[in-house]
Amino acid sequence: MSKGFARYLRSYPEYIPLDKPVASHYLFCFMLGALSGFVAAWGNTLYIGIYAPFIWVSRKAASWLGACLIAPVIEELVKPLGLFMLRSEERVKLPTIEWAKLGLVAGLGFALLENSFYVVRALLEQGVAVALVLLAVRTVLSLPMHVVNTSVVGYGFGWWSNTNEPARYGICLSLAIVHHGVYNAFVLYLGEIT
Amino acid sequence: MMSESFRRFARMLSPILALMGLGWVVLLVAIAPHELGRQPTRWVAALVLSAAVLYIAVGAALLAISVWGERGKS
Repeated sequence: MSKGFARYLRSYPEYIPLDKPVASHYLFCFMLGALSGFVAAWGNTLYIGIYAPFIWVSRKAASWLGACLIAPVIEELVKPLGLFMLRSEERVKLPTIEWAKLGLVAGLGFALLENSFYVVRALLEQGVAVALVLLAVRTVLSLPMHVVNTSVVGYGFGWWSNTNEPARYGICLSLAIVHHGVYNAFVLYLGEIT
Repeated sequence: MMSESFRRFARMLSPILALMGLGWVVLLVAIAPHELGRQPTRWVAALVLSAAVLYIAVGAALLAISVWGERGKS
């Protein structure tokens, strides 16, 4: 390690221990959770190389692969972007449960933005009735799914940051990815058989 | 011993999971018949109800864990 880099690391500010987040932390996580939808969309597109052969063989297989494997991994990784930034840039140190609450807010931001995208698209392509049904379905099912998953990831993040054991974050992240993938598979299957 | 943060986390998630379970019931009872123009088949109804029961059960289990942790503390 170069001397300059070591000096830079030593000069990095100490962590600021807080009992609970302030209002701006919630807002920050909410906004970045919403913005991470764009990052996820971009990340999903990067995997076109994996999708492409499946699209050529079977469009259905490609949609299953994207919805049940690629999207859950990318989305669960990027949704807690705000938490990572609070920790690394704002140097905030919080109890584990408070990170879970911030994760919950980040998931809410992500889900609301995703819902609005889908609903506006349905509104433009299929009319008001379909858009309203889609809004209702996504509000009672997809929104809480994202909220639960991101709070689990947030809990794992807090667990990791308070114990310095990244495996704990890995456990929670895996749990959220599996839940997301199974949920998407279930919804896809229901869509196909109805 | 259960950590205080996990107990509070379980308490926080349990209503959301229960609401999600109720969401599946709303989908089955109110939205699906309207959208399909007919009642869903028994297989679809069984699948959706299973999901609802699963989410409500997980929510209830988390609530029980948090209450049990609270009692253990006092």
